[in-house]
Parts: sequence; C-alpha cells; structure tokens
Amino acid sequence: MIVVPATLAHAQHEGHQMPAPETGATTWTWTIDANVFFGVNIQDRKFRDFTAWESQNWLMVSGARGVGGGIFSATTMLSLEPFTMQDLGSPQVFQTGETFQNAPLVDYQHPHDLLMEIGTDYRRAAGPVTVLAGLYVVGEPTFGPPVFMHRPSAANNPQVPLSHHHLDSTHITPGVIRGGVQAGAWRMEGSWFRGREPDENRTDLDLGALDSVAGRVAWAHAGWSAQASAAHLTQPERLSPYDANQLSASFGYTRGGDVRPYSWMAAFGQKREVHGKFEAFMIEGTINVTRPDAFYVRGEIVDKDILDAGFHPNFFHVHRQSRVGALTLGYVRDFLRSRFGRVGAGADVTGYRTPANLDDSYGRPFSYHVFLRYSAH
Amino acid sequence: MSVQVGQRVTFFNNDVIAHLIAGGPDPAHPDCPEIDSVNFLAAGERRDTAPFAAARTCEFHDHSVLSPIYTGRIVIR
Repeated sequence: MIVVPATLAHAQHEGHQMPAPETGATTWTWTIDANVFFGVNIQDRKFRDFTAWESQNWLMVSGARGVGGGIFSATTMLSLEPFTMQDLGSPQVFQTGETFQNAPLVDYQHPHDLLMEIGTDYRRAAGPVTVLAGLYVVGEPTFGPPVFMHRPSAANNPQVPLSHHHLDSTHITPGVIRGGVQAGAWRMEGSWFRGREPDENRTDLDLGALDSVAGRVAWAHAGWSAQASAAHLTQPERLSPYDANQLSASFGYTRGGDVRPYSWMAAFGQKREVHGKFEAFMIEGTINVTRPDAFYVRGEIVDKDILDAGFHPNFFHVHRQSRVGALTLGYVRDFLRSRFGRVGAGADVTGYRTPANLDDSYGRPFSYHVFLRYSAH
Repeated sequence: MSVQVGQRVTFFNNDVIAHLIAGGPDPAHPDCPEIDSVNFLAAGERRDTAPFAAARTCEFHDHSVLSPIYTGRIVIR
C-alpha cells in the first residue's frame, strides 16, 4: 500500500507525515514524499552579483506496520544537492552555517548531505498515553520546529531560511536516540545525539559519540500546533571548540482541504554561544488562492556574526553581531497535476535589511529565484 | 609588496567568498593596526589600509580562515 500525503494535510508541528497503519496491520504501509526545485538563483549585491543554476531537492520514503501491539516505522530521506549545487553551496545573502575548505560559510547555503535521514520509530499505546521511541543513524533530535523541508508553510519556497541554524539545522544529525510520551494533543520528548554539524564531505556518515541532549514539549490540535524546546550541543561548530545552548519556540496553523488551503508558522530561536546570544525571529506562510495558484511569504530578523565568523586559535573575542532582515514574496502555479504529483513554475523576490555595520559591504541587496518545482503531494 | 611611509595599500577581494583582513601573521599575534582598517571585505569589495606611519615590515592574514594561502607581507620603506 502506498500513501501520498495531500497538500497541507498535516499539522505544522507534526513535521513530515508518517504512515499510520492499524496497530494490528501485518503488511507494510508506505509513504513517499518529495520536493524538487530547479531554477536560477540571482543575487543582486553591492559589489558583485551572483547567478547560479541549481536544484534544491529531497526524497523521503517511509514504511510502517504493526508490531507487538504498536506501530513500527522505518524512514529514509535523500538529497542530491551534493551533485546539483556547487560545492561551495547556494549563493544567499547573509546566510551562514557550516564550512567550506575549513572556512566558515558566509553568503552561501551549504548543500545538504546525500543521506539526510535513516532510522526507525516505534509507538505503542500504554494506558492513557502513547509511548514513542526512535533510533536514527541520521535523524532529527527533539529540538526546534519541523525542518523547513517538511513545513507546509515553507513547501513552496526554494530558499532556506536565514534562521535555519537557529531553529532547525540539527535535522541531519548523525546518531540520534529519542523517546517520549504523547497524551492527547500533548507530546513530551527528549533525545540524546551527536551535536557536531556535518563535515564538508556531503556523501559520508559523520558518526561519533553521542554527546548532546535536547527536550521538547509540543502540542497539536485541530490544525493548530506549537512547540518549545531546548538543547545543549557539544562543540556544534566544526571549527570551534566551544559548546552551545539553543532555545526555540514556535506556533502555527495549517488548514488543508481543497478550498484555499493555507499554512503559517511563527518561530523564535536563540543560540547561546561563548561569542554571545544570537536570536532569530521568523514568520512564514503560504496560501493557495485557487487550487493551482499559491502565494508564499517569509519574513525574518536574524542575528549573525558575519564580521567575525570562524574560530581564531589562541585569540578570543566576542563576535560582533549584525541583525539582518529579509522579506520574501513568491508565487508558484501548478500546470501539471496527476496521481504522481504536481509540476509547477514559480518565482520570488527577497529584499534585505542591512544593519549599519554591514552597510559598506552589502548596501541594499535583493535576490530572485525563478524555478520549476515538482512535488509528490 | 613595498610602499613608502605614509602610503596606503588597497585590498581588493576578487574571490567569491568574503575575507576578513587583519594585521599580524596570525590571529594570536595581532600587529600593524593600519591593516585592521581593511577588516571585512565582501566578494568584490575593496578598501584601503590606513596610512602606514613608520618604516617596517607588516604581515597580514585572513582572520576567518586558517590558511597560508590567505597571508601576506607589506614592506614599508
């Protein structure tokens, strides 16, 4: 049996939709989901413009069946971005996070790893609650809102949020053990995982000791959803020997169905590092004004250490912060729809707020995307 | 390269990534504050040092990247 999720059918904070067979089912129920963007990315900057033809993409396959009175599921998620983007990453004004050739990435979004997720979950009712357990070779710890790739509110937007490394960048953590309980609309969960970000080899597995922890309280009811979470990360930056703590909170609403489905989410994230506190505020949404026509928007205010990114051996100083802003407006129209998915074309424009300490270097940048998009749902 | 006392040096970043120019051979040995005036250079950006005040040899490095590729020396005569 194969299930393909309907557009905007699941609540925002449930993340990707898992197959849900009966607990006694002895056959596998499969879910396939995918999103593929291909197009041109134009970065209009003060000193040098950048143009890149590239593809952001992912494919997820999940299977589930009844086992021992509960539901066992297995999931894997792949991305071909190591081959469909330049090694340096996708040009994106003010984006930071991870490294390239041992230098901190600034103004680029790194490609995601080939193997973004692989692991298993088990859930079983125990009296008034449901017990949850998960074991992932690569997966998501219990921190932050669902990663942007699985958020209905971000599904039409090819661009990674500038707040990615404040909110949901741990989604491709190598080595995750997680567990929790669900009671009605509430879910409490915790995880033990490896806190180090992936290395620059996008096709390997970066396994190591589990050294970091996270906890999350989540709530979902009638389309509304919210979460609050915290994490302690052991040396998350590959270039830096320092630990970090992270906090996040988010809430949103998703209305599915065929009549003007829409979804939005607001989120706050804070990174507490040795170099200071870095905060991010984000709100994003998408609405289908007709069945094939969707508009999307994302607004962000994010603290970045662009001026001092990286680690400076035998020399410590608090990194200068730059509070950048971005507002994206976009539109996508599906021109082909079948049981295998949808194909559409879209475009967006992003205007940026440049703080005073970056004004000389960036001026007033804009960026544009024009793309084709395939979605499996 | 060599310059005269009182002259400036222009740094032009013709790379596709940003660089953070600082005086001294590495982050642990800051020196030549005239070079610190260059600071952060976005891709394509250029900026001058402050005028070099005295005859000496100044080294510089990229403060964000630990690589000998991104180091150099200016001789002030």
